[in-house]
Amino acid sequence: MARVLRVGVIGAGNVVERYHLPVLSAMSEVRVEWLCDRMEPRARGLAALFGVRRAFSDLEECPDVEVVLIAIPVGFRRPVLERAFRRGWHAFCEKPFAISSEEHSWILDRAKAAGVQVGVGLMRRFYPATALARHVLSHRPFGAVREVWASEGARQRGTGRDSDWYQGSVAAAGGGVLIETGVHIVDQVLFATGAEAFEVGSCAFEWGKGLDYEARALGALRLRDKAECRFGIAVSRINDLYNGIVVHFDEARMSLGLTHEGELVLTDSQERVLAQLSSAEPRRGQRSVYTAFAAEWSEFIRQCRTRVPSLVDGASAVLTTEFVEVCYKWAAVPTAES
Amino acid sequence: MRVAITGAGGQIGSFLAFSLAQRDQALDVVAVCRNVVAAGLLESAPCSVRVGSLTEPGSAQLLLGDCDAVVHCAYAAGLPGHAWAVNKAMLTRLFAIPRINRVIYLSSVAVYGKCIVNEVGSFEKPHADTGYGRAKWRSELLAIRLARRTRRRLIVWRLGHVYGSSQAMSQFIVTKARTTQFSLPFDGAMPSNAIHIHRLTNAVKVSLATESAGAWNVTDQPQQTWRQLFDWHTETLGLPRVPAMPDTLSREAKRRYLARGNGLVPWHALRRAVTVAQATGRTAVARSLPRLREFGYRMLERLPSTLESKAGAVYWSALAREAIVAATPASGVDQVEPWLLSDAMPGPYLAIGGDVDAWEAGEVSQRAELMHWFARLNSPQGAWLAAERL
Repeated sequence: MARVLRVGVIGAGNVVERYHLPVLSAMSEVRVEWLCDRMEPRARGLAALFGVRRAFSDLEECPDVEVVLIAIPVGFRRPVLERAFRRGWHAFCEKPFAISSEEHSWILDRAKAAGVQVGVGLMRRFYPATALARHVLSHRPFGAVREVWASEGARQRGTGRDSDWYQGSVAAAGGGVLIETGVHIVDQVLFATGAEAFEVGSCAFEWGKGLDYEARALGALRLRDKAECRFGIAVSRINDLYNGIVVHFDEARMSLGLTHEGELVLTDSQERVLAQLSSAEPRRGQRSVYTAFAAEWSEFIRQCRTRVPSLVDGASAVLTTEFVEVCYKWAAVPTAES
Repeated sequence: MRVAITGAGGQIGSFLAFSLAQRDQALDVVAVCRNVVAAGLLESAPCSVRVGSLTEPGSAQLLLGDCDAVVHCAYAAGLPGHAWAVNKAMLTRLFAIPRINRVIYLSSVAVYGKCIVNEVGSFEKPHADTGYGRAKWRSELLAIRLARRTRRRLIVWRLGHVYGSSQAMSQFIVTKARTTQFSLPFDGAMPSNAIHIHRLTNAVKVSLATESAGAWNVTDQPQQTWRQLFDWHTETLGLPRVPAMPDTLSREAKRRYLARGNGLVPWHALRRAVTVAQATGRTAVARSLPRLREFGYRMLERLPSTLESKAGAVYWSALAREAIVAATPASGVDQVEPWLLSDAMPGPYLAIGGDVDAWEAGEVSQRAELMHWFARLNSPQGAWLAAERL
């Protein structure tokens, strides 16, 4: 039986409380050894709730583990990653992986130099509709892909957060809706289509208080077989949008939902439904958001043990980081890097 | 008059802040948000925006200290104990601001429960069956006590379902209208308890100008039925008319909803839970305990063959029953949203004075807004189409 991996959690925010700790507590192949957060009372409270033995506010005091979860705002990660790599810890980073391509490369290079693995938490890759779309698109049974349209948005109806929320700071969050939420749908499109490159032809933002609240980009994707298709994406916090991805083939259309319950629907050129995958009948992928989180952890643990890149390897999200960076540069919107 | 809109980052608060600031020059609107991200929604609003916490005494004074009136839309959600502490603190701080002489507290139809049954509960003693509804009711009582203690004018509105562009109820209606299996219970004859967001804005404007105080239910006047509400949406957006659920099924849906012990009689809900557990849990438990299984097999070996066959038949029937229950989609009547079965809110209704049509271009404008909102929802290219129109 494989040795249980010791995990340290850096950051005691919402995603840790609601998803990572409940999932890690239920996984037998890992054991959470400590929580570290600059707000030690928060770390202690969360540790007590989930039966984690120790809590710290200073990373230097944390005992050695095999893996650390990096769940702090992306703008603050570089020094933390530097320390983690120096101590020989594999690092699993919550999305977004990095603010820029330069930072993304820096992380991968530092991890390689330290001989450790680095992964990215993009759990939508494990949703049934996304996984099946990737499978279908890899076989192209309906002819060439002509266009891909993706959008995700809901009018913000309350945040439930106080004035110190990190998403109010460009320096901490790296930007607004595009990097915070948009990185998920961008990655879903790139992952499902297996795109190898992209071009941004135009980009527009709606913004307020220095943050982007809506982002729209038009361009093209270069797919695995070097074919190109038109691509459009929109994300928004100020408008309700169509939530989904639509892929237009020569002979058919595929629509997929964005969540763990999202459906995948195939229609022909006459709009007749050919097939439908709903959350009640998962053939691939994970049924709930918790099992998706568990799947990404399982992938990363396997990567740490075998040293073979998995579906959540940090390098697999390079294109996603580049896309977000190109969009921000296009509109010359100030980011944490500028 | 300077009026603060708390919770201005929310779906109602943000609309009120925009609309009141744009339409009523006599009002100096201050939008109050909890954080910068919420405030960013109001970047283009023609009003001042303040960011901070309403729960800290010093902060609340800074945010509201120069205001004459407050429309309190802010509400803390989350775990009940924590949420109540925050909601209570907000109300307490608000009523401690000396200059504020008028408060409009936005409560909710939820205080009456998801499905209003007029035989259960009343205007004076509503019967909330959700954490949200109970929290709103507690907040009403607290607001009334604080208003009496501090001698402020308090208006409590039990807001019906708010619909219109960017409102959650319109999104619900559009989603249902596009769901092929959906039909409208009682052909939509039940009262919707709904209010258009523009009419709500008008009501705020009018109430701030009067000396009224008290508590009311707030809906469109006259009250619309669900059929009228659904038809308004489907006609405006070019969607097919929603079919009617037959009366027999509608009555069955309501009977089943109430029989499931939904907030009415707790022991009904417990009895049902026990029955379900018995039906589905028995064989699962037996299968999951290896020692028990082993004991069972040894016993079977000693039984006469006729009895062993009988035991097998009972076991396989139970397995089949479990599998069929698990595989059978829930009957449509079990899926009906309770507010579609609901009676009208009991008690007095706010007579919304003024004419919303005098503010807007009226019906045409409301429909145009809805179509513009729907264009974004309808396809992934919608975001670009809407931007081009702008």
